[in-house]
Amino acid sequence: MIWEQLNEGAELSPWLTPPITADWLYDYAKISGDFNPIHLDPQAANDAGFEGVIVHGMLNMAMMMKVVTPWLDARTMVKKFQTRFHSPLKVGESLHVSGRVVNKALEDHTITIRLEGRNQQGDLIVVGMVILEVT
Amino acid sequence: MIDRKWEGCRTKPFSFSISRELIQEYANVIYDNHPIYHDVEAARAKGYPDLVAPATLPIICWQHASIPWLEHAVGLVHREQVFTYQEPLYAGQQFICEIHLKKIEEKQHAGKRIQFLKHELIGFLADRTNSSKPVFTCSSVLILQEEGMR
Repeated sequence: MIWEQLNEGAELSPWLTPPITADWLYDYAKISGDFNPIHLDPQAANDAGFEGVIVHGMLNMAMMMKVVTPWLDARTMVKKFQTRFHSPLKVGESLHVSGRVVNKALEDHTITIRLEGRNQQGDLIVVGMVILEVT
Repeated sequence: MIDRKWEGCRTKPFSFSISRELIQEYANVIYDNHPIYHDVEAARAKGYPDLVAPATLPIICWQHASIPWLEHAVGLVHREQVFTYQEPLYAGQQFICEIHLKKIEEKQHAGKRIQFLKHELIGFLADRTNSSKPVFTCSSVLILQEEGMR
């Protein structure tokens, strides 16, 4: 099904996350064990050169996947998901996630999707690539 | 900065179990309410044996590892992350994992030394330890700046 529907150039339904709150970052810290103070303590974030606490990169990466999740099933597996973190998302900001199919390879039955996460000013926060294997 | 002697070192193996509750809780925190992560029947309807793990979930393994070379490192910045799978991960599975410091690269930036620390977390199914191929591999590039040591 996915194979017929997702062709090169297809855009996935975008997603705008709710504004990321300090409580949300604390919840992410608890489940991930990443209590790096730049995500939790405004003073520590300022000392590290940021204007306020910043969102965990891994939370941004995880949230980007939400636009791909509806396409997954037992025959459509995430083979690879890679991300480069460009700039930090600040607490209070939202991440705007978009995805586009950039390659469909018949020989190994894979679909490659490029993901982008930007803040509301349009600044690039994170870029990702997902390779789905369709069997 | 991290001593080059650690390059190539591995953590002790540690175990990591995935429960339904962990998948549900993690999916809540990453704001993904899709039923394959929350509702066993919905996951089965998609052909999965149980709840499937979101692709980024294995990163939370890091908290179960004791990583001697990072003990005194503060202010680490995450630069790049890659997850590679041989198969999806499900609720009810248990893994044996280890973290490997593959490479330390040093660069100069604005007169300061910066280290790029290339890590690899690998996970083997606990009931399939004779397999030489990890089920999942998570590569993380972390950046450490010169003043970032206690």
